[in-house]
Amino acid sequence: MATMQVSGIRIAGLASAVPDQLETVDDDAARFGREEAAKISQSIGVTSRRVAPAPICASDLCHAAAEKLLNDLGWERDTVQALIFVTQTPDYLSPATACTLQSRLGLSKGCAAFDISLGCSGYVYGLATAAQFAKGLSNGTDGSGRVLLLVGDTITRVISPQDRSTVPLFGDAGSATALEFNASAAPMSFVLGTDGNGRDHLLIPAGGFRTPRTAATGERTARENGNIRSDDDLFMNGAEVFMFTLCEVPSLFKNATQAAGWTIDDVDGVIMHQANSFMLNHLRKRLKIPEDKFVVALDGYGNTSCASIPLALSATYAKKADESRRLVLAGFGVGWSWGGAAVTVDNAVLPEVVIVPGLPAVVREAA
Amino acid sequence: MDQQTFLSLLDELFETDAGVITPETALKEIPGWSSLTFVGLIAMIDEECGVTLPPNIILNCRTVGDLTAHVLQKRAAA
Repeated sequence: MATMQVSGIRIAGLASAVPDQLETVDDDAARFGREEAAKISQSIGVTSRRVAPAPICASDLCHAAAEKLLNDLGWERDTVQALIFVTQTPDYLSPATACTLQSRLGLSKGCAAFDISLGCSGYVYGLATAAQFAKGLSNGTDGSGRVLLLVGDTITRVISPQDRSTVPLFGDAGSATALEFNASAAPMSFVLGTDGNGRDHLLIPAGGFRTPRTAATGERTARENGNIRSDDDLFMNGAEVFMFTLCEVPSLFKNATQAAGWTIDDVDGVIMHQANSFMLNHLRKRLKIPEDKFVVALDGYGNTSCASIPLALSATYAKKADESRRLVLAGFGVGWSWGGAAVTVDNAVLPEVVIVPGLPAVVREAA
Repeated sequence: MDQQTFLSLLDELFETDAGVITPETALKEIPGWSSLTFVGLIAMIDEECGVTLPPNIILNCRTVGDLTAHVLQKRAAA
């Protein structure tokens, strides 16, 4: 497993944003029947989730989170030296969404900006990359080397409304994390891994250059278990995802904790990718992680792909930011790709989750 | 662990009365078999039997008896 440590970089703050529109188990009951919807909801631990209406992109949610965070931090825009955007649902195939976000946020032309294409593991990969950038860009004085990491997805916009393996589970969210040099910051440890053999189990088959979109790829037809889906929609084989998780996540968690020289007793909180509560509870039991240290914060939001770890952090720790916490993060999924991090979050700015209106107020009032 | 214990675990998972699931029962004809209970089955085998069986191995088992044999065999090999 690729392991690294970055010293002298702190997380200055983190904000998350979700759309104002909710979908609930009642909406699922109308599609899949009440009994089926209730069973699914009970298993995955999601009774409602945030869903972005059509014009809203992951970049919009990340933009809202970044505006809140930059204002709360009081960072001058021209002090940000790099912007990294992690998503599977970009604004365009080209250009990189990070470029549009650089201009929307009013960052300087001297700011590096690029995208990383990863899903459930994306926050940890993004954090590792952002920390390395912050380190490289800093001049050794506290507050230099400022990097903005924006991580978000609107997975509900690539799922079929008649696919019960995805509809009741996924939600949309964006996040912004600010990093900067600080000589006394505790080191961050990262472990990263990949197994591309998992490609076909969690996949949007069409829409790239391997299989471009056509009328045929957009046609929704009956697939396994009576689910109706097209090749433009996200496909998920839940059993294979679960199997992959059982095989990789226990060692991922242990390696990340050990990389920092910690045991579970040193850890204040474990935040895994908020896949679903059934999987999270299984992993918690298997790893013997005490319940009070294990964050499960997906009801009301759903599985928000790469944004699930920062969103769970915001939902759990906002307003309790003035403490120092040793956290172990673990992201895992589409790829297969996985990453673990052991980080100390000390006196960071952690605003409450920002709610983003889906439609302009004028339109909403008229509706 | 023996066959009877494994059958009891299946009864618990699928909420069936003892005797409904037998070694001859076709896996996919267990009352309540679905993609959700399938994942539950993988989790149960992992948690209660201490072995991780890939989904395709389970799906290739025709009957409950075939599955039980796989689980017991993998336990013995571990």
